[in-house]
Amino acid sequence: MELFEAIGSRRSIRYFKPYQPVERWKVEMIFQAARRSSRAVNASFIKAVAVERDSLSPEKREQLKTPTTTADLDMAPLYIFTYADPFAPDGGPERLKDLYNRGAFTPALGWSEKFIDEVVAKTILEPLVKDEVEARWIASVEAAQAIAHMLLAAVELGLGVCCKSFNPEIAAEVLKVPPDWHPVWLILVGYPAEDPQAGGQRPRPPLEQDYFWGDCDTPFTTTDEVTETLRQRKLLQPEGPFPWRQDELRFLARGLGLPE
Amino acid sequence: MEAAGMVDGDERLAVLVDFCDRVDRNPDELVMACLKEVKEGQFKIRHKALREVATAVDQFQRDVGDQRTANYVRSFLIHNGVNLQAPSVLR
Repeated sequence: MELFEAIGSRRSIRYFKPYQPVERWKVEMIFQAARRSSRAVNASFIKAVAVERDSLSPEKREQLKTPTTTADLDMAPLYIFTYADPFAPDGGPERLKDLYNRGAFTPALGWSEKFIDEVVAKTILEPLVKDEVEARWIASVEAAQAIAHMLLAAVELGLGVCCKSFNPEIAAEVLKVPPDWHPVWLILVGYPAEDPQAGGQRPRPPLEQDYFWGDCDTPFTTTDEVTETLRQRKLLQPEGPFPWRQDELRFLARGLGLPE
Repeated sequence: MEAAGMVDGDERLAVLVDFCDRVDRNPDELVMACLKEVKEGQFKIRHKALREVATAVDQFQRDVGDQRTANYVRSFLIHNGVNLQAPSVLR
């Protein structure tokens, strides 16, 4: 699957085939994709724990639920709990010097080992780790990049995914999570029971509302040519609601014994 | 009832009435038992009451012997803002 098609095909899938497990090799591929995301100071901000639903007792699974994470948790055969580690920048100077020696940071752009030790380490990294709000912010941003990779990799592998909230206290107990890790999202993973279109692409505000050219007074305008190209490459797909969507939802609810 | 799409003569309405008789509350009382108005138009969940109602619906399901019938009650509550979690889809 091409990247643009994977981006366009990703939906928040909320109905999974509860009987069809996710193959471990696919989880390995998803984690490898996450590992390749952009990350500041080449630090492992993302931490992720894959858990098979059926390895948890029904009671623990029930305790993981929140007001917005409900029967979908029961359906998904695999969970990926994601966390952000605010202490990931530790060891940053050594990694930066390694990147410098690999030609990632260059003297042409002002870098040297001395610069790393005396400026970057002392005036950027050390204060960052000490500031809890800043550390958590950057850890969450960088973890989210990895999460985005995971979602797209899963879609490429024919899986459905959805980012959900979860009960962090129960998860911490079950997963033995270090106390410093900040919970991000639970990703439900499985084979979709609903049509992968899931009722169509979700609406977005016009691109001009959020994206600009040059300055914030100049909205970025779209063109018919690019829009048509992205339709052909399947980044832009038909928006819902499809006429049969409510019937599909009724069918799913009745088949799964859920309220309608 | 309107939120849940129930109209007079609807089988689901009869089920709701049956359930309400069993718990001695009318539909409005059932909903308001689970929600607390904290500001005009804003509600928060009364978790203890929600658990009690959920338990009552589960018992109703056992009494009538049919999950789909009990789901009519759950559906009524869900459509009225009470996030009653459905029983596990796993058997």
